[in-house]
Amino acid sequence: MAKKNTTSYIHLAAMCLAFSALTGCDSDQPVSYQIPKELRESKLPLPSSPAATTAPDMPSPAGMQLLPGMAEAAQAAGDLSYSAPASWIELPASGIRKATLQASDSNGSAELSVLVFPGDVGGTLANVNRWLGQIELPPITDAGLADISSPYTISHHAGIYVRLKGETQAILGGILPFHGSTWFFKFIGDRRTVLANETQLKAFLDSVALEDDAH
Amino acid sequence: MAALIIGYGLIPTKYATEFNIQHFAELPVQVGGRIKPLDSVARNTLLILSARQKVVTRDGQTLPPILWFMDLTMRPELADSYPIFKIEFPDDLGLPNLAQAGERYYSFNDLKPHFEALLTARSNINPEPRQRSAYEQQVADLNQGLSLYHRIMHSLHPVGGSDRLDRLSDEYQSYLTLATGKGMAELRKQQAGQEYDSKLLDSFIFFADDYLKLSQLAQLDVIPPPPPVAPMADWKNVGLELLDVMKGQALSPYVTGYATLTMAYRANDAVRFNQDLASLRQRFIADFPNELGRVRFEQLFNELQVFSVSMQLYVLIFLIVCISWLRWPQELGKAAYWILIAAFALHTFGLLARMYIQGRPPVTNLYSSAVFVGWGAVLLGVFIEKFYRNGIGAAMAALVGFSTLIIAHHLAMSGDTLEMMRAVLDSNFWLATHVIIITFGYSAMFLAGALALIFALMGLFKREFDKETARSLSGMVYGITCFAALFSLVGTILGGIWADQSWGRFWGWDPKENGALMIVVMAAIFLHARWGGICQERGLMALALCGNIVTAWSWFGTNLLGVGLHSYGFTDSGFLWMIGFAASQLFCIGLVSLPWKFWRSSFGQAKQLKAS
Amino acid sequence: MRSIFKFFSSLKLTVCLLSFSMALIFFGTLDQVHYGIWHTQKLYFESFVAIWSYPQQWPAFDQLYWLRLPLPGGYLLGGLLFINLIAAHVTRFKFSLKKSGIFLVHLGLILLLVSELLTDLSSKDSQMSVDEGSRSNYSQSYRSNELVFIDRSQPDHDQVYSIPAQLLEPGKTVQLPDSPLRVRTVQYFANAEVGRASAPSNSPADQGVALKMNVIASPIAVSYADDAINTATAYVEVLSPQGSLGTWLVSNVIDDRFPPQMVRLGSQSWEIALRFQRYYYPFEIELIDFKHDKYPGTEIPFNYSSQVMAHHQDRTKNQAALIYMNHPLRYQGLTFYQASFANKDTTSIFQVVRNPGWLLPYISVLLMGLGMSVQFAMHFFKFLRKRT
Repeated sequence: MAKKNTTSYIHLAAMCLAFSALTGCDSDQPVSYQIPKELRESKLPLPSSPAATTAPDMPSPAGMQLLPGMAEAAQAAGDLSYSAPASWIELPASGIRKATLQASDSNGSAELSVLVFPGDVGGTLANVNRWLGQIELPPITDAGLADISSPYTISHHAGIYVRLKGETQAILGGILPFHGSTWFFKFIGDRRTVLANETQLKAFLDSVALEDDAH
Repeated sequence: MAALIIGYGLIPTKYATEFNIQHFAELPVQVGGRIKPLDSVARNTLLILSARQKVVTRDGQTLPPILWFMDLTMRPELADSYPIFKIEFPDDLGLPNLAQAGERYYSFNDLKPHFEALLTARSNINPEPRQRSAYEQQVADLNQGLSLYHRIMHSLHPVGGSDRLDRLSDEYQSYLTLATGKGMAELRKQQAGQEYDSKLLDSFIFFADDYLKLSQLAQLDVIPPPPPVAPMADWKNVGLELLDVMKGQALSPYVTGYATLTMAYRANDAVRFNQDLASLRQRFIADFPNELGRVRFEQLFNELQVFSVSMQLYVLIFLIVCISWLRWPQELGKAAYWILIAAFALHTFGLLARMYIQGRPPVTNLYSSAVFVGWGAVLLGVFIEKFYRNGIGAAMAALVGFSTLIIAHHLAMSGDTLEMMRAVLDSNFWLATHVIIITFGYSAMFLAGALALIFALMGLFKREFDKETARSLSGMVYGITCFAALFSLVGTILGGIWADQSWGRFWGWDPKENGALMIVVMAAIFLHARWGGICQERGLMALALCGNIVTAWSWFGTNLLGVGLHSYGFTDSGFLWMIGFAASQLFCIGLVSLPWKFWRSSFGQAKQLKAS
Repeated sequence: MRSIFKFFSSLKLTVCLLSFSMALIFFGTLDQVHYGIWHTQKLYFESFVAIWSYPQQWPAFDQLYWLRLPLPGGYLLGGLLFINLIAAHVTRFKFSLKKSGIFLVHLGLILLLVSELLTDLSSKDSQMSVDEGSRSNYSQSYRSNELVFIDRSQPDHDQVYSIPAQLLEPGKTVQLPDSPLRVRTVQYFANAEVGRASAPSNSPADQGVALKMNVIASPIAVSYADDAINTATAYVEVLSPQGSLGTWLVSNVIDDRFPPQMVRLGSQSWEIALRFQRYYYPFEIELIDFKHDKYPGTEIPFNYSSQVMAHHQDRTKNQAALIYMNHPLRYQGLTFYQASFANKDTTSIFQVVRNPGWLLPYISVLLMGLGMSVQFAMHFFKFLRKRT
């Protein structure tokens, strides 16, 4: 019986030793390692549990009623070509967004989006007020339009250039009625960044060329 | 007598009217990813609103669900007067002039004057469903019910009064001409700044607006895509189909079909109704040649109400066995055994039918788990009865079968019990087997607990309960618990394997996992206590009763906890039932622990003699 | 000696330990309502003692708030059960065919306990998110953080110096390996609110984002909810042989959306950041296509799948795979599971698990299943023979 006890002790001890060897505690030490060259990418998405995601498929920009047919109309609208300012980053287009560009500096960041919709989407005043709402400014009336907008030529057609300056954010943009649809060039972001990049934005608008079957 | 119950329950209803209600009930609709008959939608909606599957109008008429559905969708002005909204405590709602003494069912018209008050009440309640009080829950349910009612009402055609509904075909006709050519032309003219017909444009915009609202409102997707139809293709509701005409699609004949059906029903023209119905049905058969059988079967299954019949049979069995212990043990015992077989067959048929309709293994949600637990317990009970032939197996099987079916019935109040499962619960070998085996483990634990209960009752009150019976009963409990231990352990482990395949960890200390582990540990305690002689019969029976509490906790209790939501589910109605059940089992444990001198049976008396 | 052995091998001890286990599991489950699953695991099941306190939400809290229930923790119970099982086998059990079933079951159980302990100690969980069409060579753990200094001066690689956030204790100084820099932690918050101050404020930081954008941080309570991400934040002072280079505010919320915070020493510069702990791999996972199928006419998902290609630095180890629910990719000692998705079905998120002992539960399951079937089959046939 005693022998059996000793053997069992040895077995137990052996198991414990093997065990601690296996686990190999991972130490909390500072380390240094090499990685392949990385570019600083844009924001990483945070996890969202699948069960909670029930977002409808159609993206609808703030405050706009997206009627069926709009996405198809966006597809049908012609191609857009432009030249992006040197310091801006281009992001892929998707759905009704014809182009997306990003500018950032030490003060913050700003984003330019290009969208097209059939018809006039409610008219210039309604669209300007929609943009004002997005940077938490009060809506204006027709009389106030002259203060914040001016005529501007985009792709050889008559459009308007809009300057909206809020507390912390700003929007500079172009609205172009174009053969039955309206193109929106909205540059929105941290106020100082947006204003600092105004020359680049105007250069961008000047470089815009829309596919034109009508002339 | 059993034959009477079965016969009454199983005869399909015959409708005493010329309208072909049967075929209307079999018209298809796509809900929750599955093609169902309109009959199912009617029943489920009525269950949600009224907690029962029939309507009793104010003048005493009883309507089956499908007739109510037809009135709701096609004669809404009549349906609004039917009392279908169940309000348990109308006084608590705080709405003046609503509550009528003794009335629990209210109609849409009754509630109409109080809509605004109900909406304000709704906006004030706790947004977290698990933390609502009974009043808040009632307000939320009523609001949801009204919304559902409204949306179902407008599932076959646009919103409107009798003037609109009686002229649906004309409306669609004029819409078609506008949508396909002239309307868009006028719109383009307006965009380009040219001269346009404003009246034409206005009526076109009116249609577009109205159908857009309809597409967001209509609850049921009754319009299948044009043939050839892919099985996973999305169906559309009436509004969306009408809107898509603007994109150049042809209007589905189902839309016009439902319109003519509505007009015929309203005009009380049975002949035209049946004609239109026949053509709609032919189209469905042509587009979906394989679906008609399943849809018809589902409609038949709805009507048969198998589980309700089984429930009544289980009650009958229990009564018969109780009587058999007093008189005519041979004949009644045999009768009970055969009725048990019959009830089990029905129960099995119900289970298999659900599997066929859903195309999934038997346990997919809480409702189906309740049905399966009952089935498992009855199966085990049948075997016990076959071996021991003393009625105990039959009685306990009937008890568990009946209780679980009642639980299932209450669970069915949430609506569709044949819902589709989430992706994580996708058909997978480990998952299907794990769920079935663990649920079987639950059945066994409950049966063991029921047997322990009988041991206590018989031992305390029945003189003839002797050592032999005690030993065989104790043996039964031991055997069933072994079974439960095996199945619970295997089921829990399979669950771990499934979790490892899905999420990367074998065991995550999830509340459900913990509950299952508790059952395994409980069974292990029982077995080790018996093997070590730590407990004698009384102790073991008490442990088996504990097992009941632990299993109930694992099955339902863990669902009450709002993990991470800081909610213990106190306000959930299930919570009270859980506490009640636990209290009842604790009481039984108390009974079993009474000193031997209280035990009237010969078994108990012998024990007392030995002890003194 | 014998009596100790007798105690440890007794069945009564088994029953006692099992009962304590039930209580532990029950109270642990109740406490998950407060602490979430992950934290409760640490408190109850990966500890030697656990204390349950009367919850605030329960009735009569005002009278019973003082109620504390000490329970033996998971490691203590597991350890004792392990000893009990071994002792019982060593002293009492003689191997025989009749008891072979029970032997197998207990062996399987031992293996399961061991494998769970191994998993607790050595497994690592992290997440990797990949956009459609692009690649990723690292995964992140949202529960642990690291302070990194990245030297991007070399043309063909970046050098990363990482300090695990556990080492950032206020007042302590840590030396960066192979580097002239030392880091002294001024303040560390496990969770904080980081935002722009409306007026100039008294901040310990005098460099970087805190200075230029007037960002300040104030500590808040740690959140234990299962999917909560705590904003780990710190004020750190960087020291060089020449003295202090300044104090920066770093936080895992100050990420790639902000311009990089730079530490400069002469001609050298490093990007400094506090970020989720990253694990880099010698391969890249490319997401070719992500599919999200729903039941028709509903938003209820029935399948997610990701078509991926693993590009290894060693070309011979490249592998293509389809990852979907219940079907992970096992590659290079890691397992990739389809965990989640984002950005309207264009980004797939994988759970990456390194668990060297992942096979053990399967083996133990096999043993236990076999053992139980053997044991109960024998009993059942004996029972049948008695009846006939």
